[in-house]
Amino acid sequence: MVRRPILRNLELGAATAIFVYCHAADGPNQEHCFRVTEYFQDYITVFAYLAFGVILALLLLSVASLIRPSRPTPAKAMSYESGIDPVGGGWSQTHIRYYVFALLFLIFDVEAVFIFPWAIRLEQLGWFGLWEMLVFIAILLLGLVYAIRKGVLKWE
Amino acid sequence: MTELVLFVLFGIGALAGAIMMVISRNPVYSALGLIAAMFSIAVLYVVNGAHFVAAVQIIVYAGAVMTLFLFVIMLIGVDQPEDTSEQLPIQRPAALALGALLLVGFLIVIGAGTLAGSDEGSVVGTVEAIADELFTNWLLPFEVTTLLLVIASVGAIVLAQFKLRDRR
Amino acid sequence: MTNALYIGIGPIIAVTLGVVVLLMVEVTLHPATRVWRLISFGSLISGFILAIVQWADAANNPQPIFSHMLMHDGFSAFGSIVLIIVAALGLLVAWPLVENDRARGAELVALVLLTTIGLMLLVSAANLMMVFLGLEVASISLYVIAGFIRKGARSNEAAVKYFLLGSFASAVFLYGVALVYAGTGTLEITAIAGPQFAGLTQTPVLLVGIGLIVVGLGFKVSAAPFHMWAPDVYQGSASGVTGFMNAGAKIAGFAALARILVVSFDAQRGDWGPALAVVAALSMVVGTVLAITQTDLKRMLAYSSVAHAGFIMTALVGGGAGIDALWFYVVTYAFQVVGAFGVVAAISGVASDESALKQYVGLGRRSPFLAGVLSLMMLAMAGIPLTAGFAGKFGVFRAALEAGYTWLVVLALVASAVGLYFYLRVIVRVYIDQETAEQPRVVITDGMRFALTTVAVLTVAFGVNPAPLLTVVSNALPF
Repeated sequence: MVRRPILRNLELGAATAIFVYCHAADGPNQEHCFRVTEYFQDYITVFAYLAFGVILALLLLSVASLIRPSRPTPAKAMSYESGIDPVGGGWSQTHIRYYVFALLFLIFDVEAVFIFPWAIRLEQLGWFGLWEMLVFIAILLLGLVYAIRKGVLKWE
Repeated sequence: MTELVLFVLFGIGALAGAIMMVISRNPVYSALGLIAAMFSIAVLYVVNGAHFVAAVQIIVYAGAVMTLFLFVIMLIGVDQPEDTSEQLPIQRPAALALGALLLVGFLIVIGAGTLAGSDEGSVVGTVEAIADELFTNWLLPFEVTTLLLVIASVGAIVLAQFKLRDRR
Repeated sequence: MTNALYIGIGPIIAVTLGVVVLLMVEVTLHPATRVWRLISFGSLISGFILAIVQWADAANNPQPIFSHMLMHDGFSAFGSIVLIIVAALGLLVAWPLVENDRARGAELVALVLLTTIGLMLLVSAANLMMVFLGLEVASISLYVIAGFIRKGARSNEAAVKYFLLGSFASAVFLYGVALVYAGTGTLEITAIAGPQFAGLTQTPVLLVGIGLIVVGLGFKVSAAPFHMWAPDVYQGSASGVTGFMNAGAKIAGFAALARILVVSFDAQRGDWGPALAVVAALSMVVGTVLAITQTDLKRMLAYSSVAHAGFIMTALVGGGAGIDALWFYVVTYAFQVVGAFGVVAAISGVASDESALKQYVGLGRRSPFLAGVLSLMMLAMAGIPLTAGFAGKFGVFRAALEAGYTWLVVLALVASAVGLYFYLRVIVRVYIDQETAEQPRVVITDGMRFALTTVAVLTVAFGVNPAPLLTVVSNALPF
């Protein structure tokens, strides 16, 4: 991934600050400082992106609110339903079908999270590791096949 | 120092999210407060070196579980009138008293210094370290969790009011 | 992973395969209900055979398996054997419920099997994390089973109540596990009592942890004061499955409690022994007193199960010496409770959420078989000699006496005597009271008849000659 220069600079700046902090004459414990620096370097990109995102959003919204004309009408406050007049409010009750979708999403989210560490260590785990993940996925797929065949994912 | 700053910042964030969750009248805002609290806690995990757990906290909890929460909230319907009168007047004082008791308990336990901790506590919470433990020693619990997930889907379909076809 | 001894999880694998095959066959082929029966009982029977093999194998070389996650010992194997029998009996009783709901019947069977898997994990667990997972697998299946009758308001109430309070109890249990981990740095049940933690036996964090674990499991076995859910849940659930729900939770809950307390926390027995005695005493008193006032047999049996939780807990106050007494009582009680709720299912219908005592008036003439079984179960629960209930009570009282809890035994004797009143009241209704109105005809399936005959024969057999079962349970000790 090519990092944008502004992020790169932010990252360097923060790393420099930590370096100065850790190598000051009366600086704190070096061992402790090393650990802090290490994890901070790993996450500095995350923080930079976060800060950049927040600033960008605030900037765009405030600039837009300053320069745009403000003429509210009731029609503008309506929910956008692809040009069709919305039926009921946006807060109204939804169908239970959505719940099953969310549940299946959760199940496969959990599966995905377990697959990450497995994939990283697959070489060390060997064939046995492959089998254990196959069993895991097979039983989870059982839940999906079951839901599909029961017809609860069909929109009637 | 960095640790302290992050702890204070995101500790406050977690607290604010939790308070927002409890006091919001609209359950959707409560759910958003919970997401904020979970995200802040994920950062605290990172500060403690538990990188994988932090990722799980974001992906599974702040992501999937909260999606499920929001669907449940919308399933109940936010615009439905709700009875907010408290059935048990003793609830609030009891909650405060129990919370105070918990705090005292924590202080005693921490003050007594009786926490043994684990030898394995020094293991770094990297993805590799988690994988080495999870797919060797903790293999059986790992496989059993699939049963829980299957029960979840079977149970939801059994209990939800679907018109399942009666294939006689 | 070390020590992957597959015979140690043989019964669990067999029943899991049953669930997988059942669900897949159901959604792909939509077979006749007898195919469901073939698959479910096939997996239970193969699980039973594997559990017997496990029992024989564990007698010679008990050992922790799968990196100390499960224990391969007589305790686990015996628990699995009993749980599979109870699941089979429960399915036989519940079968009309399964066949009546063609669209969801297979799911009910699958959930019963999944509950059994969870309960078997619970009795076999050698690691507190496995205990928790087993507890959750069993509990979540049970919540769904409790709410299986979707159109019944009581069934829905039972499911919601069971779910909310049960999740809370699971959380309490998990908090206890976390504190024990904080206090000792290990989750292995055998390692907690190990020499490296000898200096930590009385630390507050450990004692609070033990207390929370007892509370969490005490909820699952419906011991007072954690019993509030039991009457509503056992009344609201469909009568066909209530017996299994109650018996399974009791067997596995007490087995897990016994293993954790005796193996991990024997050094702290002076702390948890008296607490357990108080819980036992409270359960006996509350269960007995509240059972007297009931006019509904399902509710009465629910309160009586609270009292029985107290009797069973009496066996544990003395620590490891009472484990065989606990096994004997909990096994024989499980058969009684399956039998009693089986009769309820036959009289009031498998899907019923109530069973007023007045429905039983004149049962002695309408159905001598059901009347006989019900009376036998009532006598056994009351602890009348020549039934298994007497031998069970005798065993747990002796265990408590040897541990020096005379007051508890005196209280238990009083509770048994008072309990006699409401058990005999049922028998009076059945045989002596005169019918005032026409009662509905009793419908009973062959499967139910077989299950009820089995529990009746076992209850009498273990009562007349308890020696064989006593010999078996004396070998079913935790490693």
